[in-house]
Amino acid sequence: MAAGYMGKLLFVNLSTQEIKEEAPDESLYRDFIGGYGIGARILYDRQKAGVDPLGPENILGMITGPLTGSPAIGGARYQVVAKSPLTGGWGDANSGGHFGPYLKFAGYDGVFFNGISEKPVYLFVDNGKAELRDAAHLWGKGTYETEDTLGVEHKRARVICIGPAGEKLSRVASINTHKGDAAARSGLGAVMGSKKLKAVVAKGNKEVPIADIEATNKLRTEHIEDLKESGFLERFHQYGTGGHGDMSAHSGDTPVRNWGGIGVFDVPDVSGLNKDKVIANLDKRIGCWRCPAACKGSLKEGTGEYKYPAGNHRLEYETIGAFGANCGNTNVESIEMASHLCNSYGMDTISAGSIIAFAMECYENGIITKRDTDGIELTWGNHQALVAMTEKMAKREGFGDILADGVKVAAERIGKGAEKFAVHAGGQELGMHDPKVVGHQFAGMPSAAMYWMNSTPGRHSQAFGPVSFVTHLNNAMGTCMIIFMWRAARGSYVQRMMTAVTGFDRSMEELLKAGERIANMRHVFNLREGLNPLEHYIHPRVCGQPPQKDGPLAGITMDIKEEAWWHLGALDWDRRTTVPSRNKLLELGLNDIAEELWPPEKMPRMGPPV
Amino acid sequence: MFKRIIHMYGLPYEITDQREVEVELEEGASMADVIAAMKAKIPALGGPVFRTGEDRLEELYKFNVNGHLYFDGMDFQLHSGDRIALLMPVTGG
Ligand code: SF4
Repeated sequence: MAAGYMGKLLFVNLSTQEIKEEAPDESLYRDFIGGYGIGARILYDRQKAGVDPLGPENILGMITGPLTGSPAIGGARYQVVAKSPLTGGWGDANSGGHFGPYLKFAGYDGVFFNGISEKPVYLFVDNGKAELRDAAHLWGKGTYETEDTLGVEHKRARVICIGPAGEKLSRVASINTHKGDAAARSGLGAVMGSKKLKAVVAKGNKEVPIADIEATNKLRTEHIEDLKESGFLERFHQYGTGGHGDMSAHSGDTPVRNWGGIGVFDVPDVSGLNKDKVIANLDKRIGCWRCPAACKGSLKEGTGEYKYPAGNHRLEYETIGAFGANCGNTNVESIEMASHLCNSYGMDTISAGSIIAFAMECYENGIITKRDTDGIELTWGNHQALVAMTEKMAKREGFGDILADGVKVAAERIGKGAEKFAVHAGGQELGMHDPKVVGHQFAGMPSAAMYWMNSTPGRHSQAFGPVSFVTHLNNAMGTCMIIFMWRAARGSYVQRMMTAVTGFDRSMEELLKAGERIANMRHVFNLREGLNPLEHYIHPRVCGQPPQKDGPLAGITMDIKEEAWWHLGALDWDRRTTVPSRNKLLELGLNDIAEELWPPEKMPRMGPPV
Repeated sequence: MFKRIIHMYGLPYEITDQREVEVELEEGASMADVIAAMKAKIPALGGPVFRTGEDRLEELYKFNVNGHLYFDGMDFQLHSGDRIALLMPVTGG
C-alpha cells in the first residue's frame, strides 16, 4: 500500500447497523487519489442510477485525501459525496477544520453510509474500531451543542454533524464542524438527515504513513518560507477571505440584489462591509489543522442589535456576498447573525443568502406580500427581515418552510411567476462571483458556463476546462485551495509533495491525468442519471441577458454556448450528448465505462448499414 | 479631442480614494493613450494598476469598453460616445 493512506475504508449499512471494513486495491488510491475522486468511483460502482437522494439507496461518503493529516500545508480537508437532493445529480462538498486528519488518525481514509437508521445514531470511529451509537439526546440540537456534547463524551475527538436543518431535510442543509466550517454545497446535510445520522466522531493516534518524512518536512519549510516572504501569510492571517467584501460589491464581482442590481447604484455606501468592520468583533484567529495561516476567526459575543454567541465564526467572503450586496445589505452584524444561524442550524450560507435575495425580489415585485411572509417586510437591504427570515428558514417555520429547499423549489411552491427571480444553475444557487466580470478569460476562472457545466452545477471553486483537472487534483489530495494551491502550485511543488508523501513517483502530467479521470468520473455519474449539462437551466442574468445598462458590467453578455463548445472540445466530450469519447475513456484507463458508454452497436462502422 | 469620465469600479482605497477620473483624449485613442492620460491625473495608479514605467495594465486588470473586456496585450480605439471603465481583478473566497 502506498504511503499517505491508511489503506482502509468503512462501509456502514444504517438499515442493518452492519459495519464492514475494506482494504481497497492500491489502484483505487493511485487512480482516483482521494476525496471525491475515490467517492465518485465508489458511488458509480455501488449505486444504481435513479435512486431517491433522500432514500436508503443513496450512498453518502466522507473521504480524505493522501495529504490530509500529512505535513503538507492546508492538508486538513475532507469531502462529502452523494447524489444531491438539490440538483438531482452528482453532489460533492468540501470542508476544512480538523475532522479530516482525525478520521485518518482513527485509521480510515473514508467512510460510506447507505440505508436508513430506524432511530437517530452517530458513528464513533475510535482508533481502528467503529460503532453506531444512539443519538436520541442529540437529535434536534444545533451543531455547536452537538459538537460540545460529543466533545465531552469523547475526549480528544473531532466531530462533524448536522443541525435541525439537515434533520428536517432542507435541501440546502450542510454538514458542519469546528463550529462554523461546513461541507455545505449540494444539500448533503439533508442526505445525512434522511439517514438519521446525526454525527460522525473520529478519534485516534494512528500515524499517517509518510514515504519520505525528511523530504516532506523540507517541502513544508520551503512552503512556509515562501508564504512569509511574499507577505501572504501575514495578510491572509489578518482578514482571510473577509478582506474584500466592500470592493467586490462595487467591482462587479459580488452579485447585487439577486444578480439584477448594480453595486455602485444599489449599495452606494459599502463602508459597512469594510475588512476592519468584518474583524471589529474578533476574539481570536483560528485555523484548520496545523495551518500556519490560521485565516479564520472566532468572534466575541454579539452585544449590539444582534446577540449571537461567542465563538461565532468571522465572516468569509461568500457569506458576506450572499447576505450582503446580493440582498442589498451592508450591515455586517446582521450578516454575522445570519451566518451564525446558518452554522448552528446547519445550512449553506451561499444558498441561504441567495434564497433571501430571491424572496426579497419576489416581495419587492408584489409576488409575495406581508400576508405570505408572516408579517416580515422583505425589502432590499432590510437586515432585520433578512435575519428573521433566515431563522424561519432554518427552523422550517411559516414562510421559511416554503423557502427551505432552495430557490428552484421555492419558486415552484410560490408560483405566480416567481421562477423569473429564481437564480440558480441546475437547481443550485451560485457562488458569489459574477462571471461577467471575468469576461472571456474563462478557462480557469468563474465563467457562466463553468457554473452551468459543472457536475455539481452552481459551484464556483472547481474551475473549468482542463484547469479543472488541477482543482479536482487539489480537492482529491485533501488540501486547501487557498494556501496549498494558490501559493504552492508553481513549478513542481505539488508533484514533489505527492511523491514524498505517497511514494508513488509520478510526474505532474500523470497527476493531472488523475484530475481529468476524476472530472470524467463525476460526469459519467450524471450521464447515467440521464443528465446532460447542456440541458441544465441557468438564469439568464448570470450570462448578462439582458446586459446591464450601467456600472462595471455594462453591456457585457456571456456566450455560454461558445464557452461550452470550447470546454467540451478540450475534454474530448461529445459536443451534443457530452459523452466522453471512447478514446478518452481508454486513455484514462476507464475501460469499463468505455464499454458501457460505447457498446459495439454504438461504435461507428464502415460500409453500408446492416 | 474629447473628454471622457472613466469610472474605476472596486478600486482599493489604499491606492486612491478617487472613484472616477476625467481625461482628455484624441479620437481613436489606444489603451496606452488612455493609461497615460489616467496616470497623469492620478499618479498613484502607476505601480499597483499600471505597470511601473510603462503605459500597460497590470495582469488581471482590464477595461470594459462598450461591453467588451480588454486586458494587457489587447488594444482598442476609443471614440467620443464610447463607454469605458476600469475593472479590478476578481478576488477569491
Ligand atoms: S488557509 Fe485558511 S482555510 Fe486554508 S487550511 Fe489554512 S486556515 Fe484552513
